[in-house]
Amino acid sequence: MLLCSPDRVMFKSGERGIYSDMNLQALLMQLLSGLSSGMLIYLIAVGLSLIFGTLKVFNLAHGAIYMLGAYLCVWLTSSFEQIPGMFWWAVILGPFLVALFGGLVEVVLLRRIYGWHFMYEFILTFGLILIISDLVKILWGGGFHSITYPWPLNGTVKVAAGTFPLYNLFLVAVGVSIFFGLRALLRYTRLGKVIRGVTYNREIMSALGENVPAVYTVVFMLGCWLGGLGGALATPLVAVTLGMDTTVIIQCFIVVVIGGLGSLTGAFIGALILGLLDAFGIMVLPQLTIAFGFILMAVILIVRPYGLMGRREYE
Amino acid sequence: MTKKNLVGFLVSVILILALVLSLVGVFSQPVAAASKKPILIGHLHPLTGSFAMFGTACATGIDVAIDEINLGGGVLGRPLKVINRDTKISPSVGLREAKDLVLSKKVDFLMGNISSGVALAISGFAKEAKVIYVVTGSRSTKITEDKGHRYVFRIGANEFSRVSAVAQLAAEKWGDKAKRIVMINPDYGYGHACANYFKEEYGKRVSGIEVVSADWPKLGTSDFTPYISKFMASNGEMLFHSLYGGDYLSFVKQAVPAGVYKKFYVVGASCGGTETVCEMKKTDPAPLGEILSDEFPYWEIDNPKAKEVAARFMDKAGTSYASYESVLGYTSVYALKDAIEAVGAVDTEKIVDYLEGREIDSPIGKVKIQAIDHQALWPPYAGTMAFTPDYPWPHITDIWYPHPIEKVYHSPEYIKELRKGK
Amino acid sequence: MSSKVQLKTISVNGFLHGVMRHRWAWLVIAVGLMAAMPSFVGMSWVSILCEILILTVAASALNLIIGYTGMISFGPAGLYAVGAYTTALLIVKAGAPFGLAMIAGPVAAIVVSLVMGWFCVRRTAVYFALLTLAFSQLIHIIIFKWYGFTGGDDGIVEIPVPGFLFSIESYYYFALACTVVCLLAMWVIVNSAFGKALQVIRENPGRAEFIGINVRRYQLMAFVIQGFFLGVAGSLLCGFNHNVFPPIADWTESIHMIIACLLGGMFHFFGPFVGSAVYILLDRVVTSFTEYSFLVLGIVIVLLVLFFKGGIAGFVSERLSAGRPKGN
Repeated sequence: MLLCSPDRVMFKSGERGIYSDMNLQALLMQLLSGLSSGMLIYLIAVGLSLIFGTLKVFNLAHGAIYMLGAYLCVWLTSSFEQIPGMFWWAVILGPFLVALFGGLVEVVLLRRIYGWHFMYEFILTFGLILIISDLVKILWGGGFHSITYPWPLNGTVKVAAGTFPLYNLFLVAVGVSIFFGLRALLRYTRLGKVIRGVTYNREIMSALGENVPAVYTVVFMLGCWLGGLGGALATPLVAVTLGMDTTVIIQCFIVVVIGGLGSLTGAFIGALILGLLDAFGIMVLPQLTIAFGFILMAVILIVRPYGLMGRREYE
Repeated sequence: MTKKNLVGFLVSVILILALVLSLVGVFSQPVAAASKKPILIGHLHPLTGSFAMFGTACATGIDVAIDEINLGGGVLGRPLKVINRDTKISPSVGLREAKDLVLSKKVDFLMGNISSGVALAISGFAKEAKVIYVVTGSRSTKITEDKGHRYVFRIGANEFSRVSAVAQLAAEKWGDKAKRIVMINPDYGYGHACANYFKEEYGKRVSGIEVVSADWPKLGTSDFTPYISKFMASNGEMLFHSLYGGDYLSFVKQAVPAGVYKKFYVVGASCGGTETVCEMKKTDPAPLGEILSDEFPYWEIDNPKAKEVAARFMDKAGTSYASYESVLGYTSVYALKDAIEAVGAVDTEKIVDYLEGREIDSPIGKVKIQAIDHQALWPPYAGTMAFTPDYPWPHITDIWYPHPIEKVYHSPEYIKELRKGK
Repeated sequence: MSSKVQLKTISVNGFLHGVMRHRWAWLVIAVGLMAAMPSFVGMSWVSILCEILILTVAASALNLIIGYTGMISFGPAGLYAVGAYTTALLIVKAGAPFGLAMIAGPVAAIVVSLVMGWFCVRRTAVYFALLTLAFSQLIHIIIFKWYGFTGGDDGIVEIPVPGFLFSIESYYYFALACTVVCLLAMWVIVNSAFGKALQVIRENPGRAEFIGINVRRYQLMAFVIQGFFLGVAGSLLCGFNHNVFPPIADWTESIHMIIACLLGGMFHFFGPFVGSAVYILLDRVVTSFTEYSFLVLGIVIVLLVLFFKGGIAGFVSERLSAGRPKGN
């Protein structure tokens, strides 16, 4: 690796995927891509992290919730095409419906297994994946669905020497807003304080007269709302198809582990790290692309199991 | 007894009932008059998950063929019947279903599949059980070449022929302008094979090519942003990929706005298929100008039967497009029908002998089944993606495939060498 | 509850009670029945039974650490695949005799589980589970990517199995014999002092440490023993399918084993056998009747977790203890 001039870094060329000619501007674009990728993952994973943090439930079906949000958004948008700005209405309505569904699941199923060994929650939510997956297939069939970028976000923006899709920047903004929004919710609102209390010690909160089961339901619905929102917002970017749930849940897993189980800030940082790792990893070692996430997950679990921002209690 | 125990009791009754039902299935023997006994085809394909589309499309083609044939009196007076099973893209599930179909349901033929791993697993079993297995969607050359055997056939193109076709078309159109190649292929057997074949075939016709970047996203990736920014910053001139299905759709949606299609000449190994882009509208980002390959471009094929049969598929499936998997299933059923009628019985060995080297009929014309590897020399049409007034979705236009068609498949000599070597 | 149901419960209890008293006789009869199956049922069902046996060995191995030691592992599939691929590679690449390759599978699994276990047992509960998952996925990735050696997702097909074991029926007898031997071995292990120590560790690791049990070392040993039997299951699978493919190392395969364990009852020795049988038979029945097998299986799994926490064996033994006269 030779540094020929301040803004040019030379790599070996060839099929290993390393460029022959790279400059800082390209690195900047890659950084931006990584952040945007990471933020998309965060949008999906934050719901999982919230649910685990407060309810101590590892919701394997979170990917299926994401998928449900995506399908609802696509269906609403394409069924009511004639309504201008339908995509935005779908983004509001879709996640709301998903949250209602989540509430139903929580009340009917999850409520019975709080306090049980985490393995039961794992298997129960795995059963949920199967159920939701087939429900989606029954309702919308097995095809590939697609909608396009909504106005006014269907353009690109000039960044340094290149262009970057406006919609991706929008997603970055949404991710950051959700991060700060959740912090604000938890820190400054009464509901937030109750949630934090319940997270810390559910018995005491119950003794203080708080309706703990209701709080659990609200948190689960909020987590599902976030997952559904992630799905709805992802639809202009990705193909909506069966099987999108399983590919996404692995990434959420990795993010939550890296960040630290139960930490919302950790999920944010973890997602960004995963996005950046992918973005820069493919420049250096593209053949190992499929391994990056799990190697990082294994390393963190060996070296610092509580993740970057995790707490000791989940023993 | 508490309510919980009652529910537990009921659930256990259901489970025991399930066990009993399965044991009943064990001891019951289906009885049917020998002459009217249906000829059974076992159709294995993913019916759930991200490849469900291909499975249901093939099932549509098979159903249309069976309906037509049964309406005409069946085969040798016997009706045809298909049993569909979901492989869930898992070789072990596929193998289990194949065993059940052959050993328990006593199917006469096996058909289908899009995943090459699953196809190889089933093919191994078909060889042991001496049952004819007609592969439709799986594209790995291994199935018919290295691991080919007497009982496996493929009606449909293979990865080499499709890549060769697009490589030749690309070389013709862009060979003088595009020598630096950027590649993105899903990281598994199919992706690696396509990448290697493209380098070979394009390199044969264009001198001085260089692969400046090669990416290997996991199959099922939906976020291609980092890959796109990586090769947008490179000095590549041509982009080759073998993405298909949901991956391809996601890629196009992200790549077009990022300017990939303006910077690069884009060539894809597969996926000129309608089922993937069927929801893409004229106002959406679309892969215009991309060279792709498809096995059933009925909108432009010079054969009236193609459009006719496509209409029947659309009718049956209730869709506004016909998928290549449908025509492959359709053709396979008719090929078996013709073979059975020609040899006069459902005799596996005689049917294999009959089909070797035979020119079978298909909605796209006559297709020859190569004797050495049972690969149908299916024309891998290549063309350039565009919108036309007659169809709402984009598709390949100016379709072409290399002539003679034998040139675009591995020669018998090559295959003999390959088989000797292993 | 009506007396009719009570009566039914009591007579069911009485029956089960009788079973438990003459445990060994029933076991011999069960094995005899299994051995006689091929004469009564078609090859398709013998094939299913063979799959059940292989899953039984794997799930019982998993039960050793989940049920007996209380360590939840999400990664048995990795070790299972190590056994299968070792056998396959030795036969196909090194031309090793079948018997040697079958033994080498579990041995390789012991080595890998030693390494994997050493890292994993240093963590507890959730972190242990996640680390086993990560390792298992890494094994999957290695098998998948190392195309030149393992064949990647093309798998290794047409693995030559000796003639006398080639047919489904003969392999079934072989698998039955192996399963019986493995289960006997596991029975001896769990009823030994070592096995009792594992259960103490499950109940209260702190106390176990206090009475002088080196918890980490015992957990590692349990993990390695689990690895050995998973390797046996993998080798059996290789010989049964005549092929191996990377998905056998994937997390979804682990989930099947965990469900089989849970469904049968993870605190009972024969739980995994019952669970494997019901799980595979259920899958078989459901897929023949409907295209929406995921929906049905998903509902069964959810009902199972909610109402059958202890698994079928747990339910059965609950009935037993309910029917037993007080003061016993």
